[in-house]
Amino acid sequence: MSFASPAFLAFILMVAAIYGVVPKSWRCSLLLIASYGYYFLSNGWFALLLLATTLSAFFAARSRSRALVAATAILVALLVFKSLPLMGINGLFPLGISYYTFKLAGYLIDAHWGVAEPERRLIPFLTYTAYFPQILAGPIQRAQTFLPQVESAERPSSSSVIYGLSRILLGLIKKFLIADRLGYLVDYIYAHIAGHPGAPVVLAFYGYPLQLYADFSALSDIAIGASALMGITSPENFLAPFSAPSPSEYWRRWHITLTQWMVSYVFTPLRMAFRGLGKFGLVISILINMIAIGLWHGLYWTFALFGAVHAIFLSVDALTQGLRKQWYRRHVWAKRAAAFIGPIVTFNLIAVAAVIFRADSIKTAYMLFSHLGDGWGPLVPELSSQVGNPISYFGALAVTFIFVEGIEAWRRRGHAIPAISALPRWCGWSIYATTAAGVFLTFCLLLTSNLDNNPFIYAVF
Amino acid sequence: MDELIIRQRLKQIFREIFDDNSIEIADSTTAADIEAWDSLNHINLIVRVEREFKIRLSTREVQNLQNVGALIALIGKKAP
Repeated sequence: MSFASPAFLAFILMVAAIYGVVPKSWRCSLLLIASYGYYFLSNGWFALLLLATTLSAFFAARSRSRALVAATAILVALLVFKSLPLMGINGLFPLGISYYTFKLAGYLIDAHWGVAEPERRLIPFLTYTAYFPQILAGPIQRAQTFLPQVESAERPSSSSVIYGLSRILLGLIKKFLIADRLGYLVDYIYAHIAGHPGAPVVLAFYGYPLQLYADFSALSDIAIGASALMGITSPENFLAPFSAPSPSEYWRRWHITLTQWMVSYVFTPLRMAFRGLGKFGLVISILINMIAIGLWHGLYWTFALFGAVHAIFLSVDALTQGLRKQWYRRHVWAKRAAAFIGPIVTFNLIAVAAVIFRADSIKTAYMLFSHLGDGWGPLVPELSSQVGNPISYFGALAVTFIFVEGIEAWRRRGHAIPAISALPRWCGWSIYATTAAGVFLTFCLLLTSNLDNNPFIYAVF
Repeated sequence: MDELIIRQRLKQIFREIFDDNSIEIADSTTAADIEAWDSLNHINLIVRVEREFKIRLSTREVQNLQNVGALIALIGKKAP
């Protein structure tokens, strides 16, 4: 059941509606049943693996030494499942395993370090890993911020429900009108690189990072929106990543919950272990951390290389930070120029790494790079054959992109939806009903205009 | 070691590591309050603290630090 399917939308609305009306003490159990129901429908008996892993973590967390053993075992199990395709065993991949094992391993390592007290109540803990809005592709929420919310199980405010509905709608617009449309072009060009002159290859080069962002952040939007319908706050996964002026800032804005997990449980322990080695220790920690981020997506050379390339960007960024700062202090114009040029350079670096991420082999990535400078060629006829009128195609994409990013920026500046509870009752309910109807209508329109039902990129990791 | 001395020396370390002479620290100061205090700079700070106060911190202790106040308390406990 894809997050962008009518069935899933109906499912979350139904669960949220029941969640709002049942007594407080039932809410957590309701989420648990709904989550395991969703998982069983999507992935069958792998639900038992999810249950067994969660139970073992729940009991292991009570002892510091056992917590560490369990965390290691869980991460090894993840590694085994990730390596099955390499041994020719396909189709044996439990849905969301990369996400829920990270939730559990983080929880166990925290218990080992004594950073957080182990959870005593089983039902909230079982809900934590199986929680259906986050099971498919995160955000990887920490237990400390999730558990108190399902334990108190407050009734969602009407503002939270409206916010949730509009956030889901934003995700659907991103998925259908940006990601899938761009994806159509990018897929075509990647499949025919050898026969293309330079310009379409350039389009795929810049188009893929945008597609990936729209696709993955749409998944996060739907997950965050679905949580808000039940009054549960989910962490953000993206923060205008393409406005980042440097690679290190980019990683603070892209797939934030994964990056923060890696910083806590991989990078910082490595940095501590190698702290006697000075700058070499820093570079080696960045390298291992970034290759691990790459391989988290799958055990392929392309993902390892993707991580290594980002490690080079980050190392250069970290090692030149002091020098740049001094230089900017002496040359104010350079600081101003860097503020403008930084995001452009960073986006190009990200696009380079994204080619390696997207390509099915290092050879394909090399082919794309080598065709980038082939000149402009007959761009318009080539594009028209794929996307119709290029002006309306790219125009619609650009307008939609600016629209959704504008809304995101508005939201980030703290322009929250005003408290509907403060309005007269009839007024609140009409806003409520109009938003819900708007979501449904737009969803129907989006669905009829896009029948391919492309899967989400990050739902397979 | 006296808390006041720790606080004074720690402020100098912060100013040096984060390259900003206007930094003031309080017990409640966290990484969110200082722009340059990111995961890359965090261990540089820890290494400098270890050298300054002649102590050795474990990963567990570093991960348990919630704010500057906790760091000062930890140094106070460990420093000779």
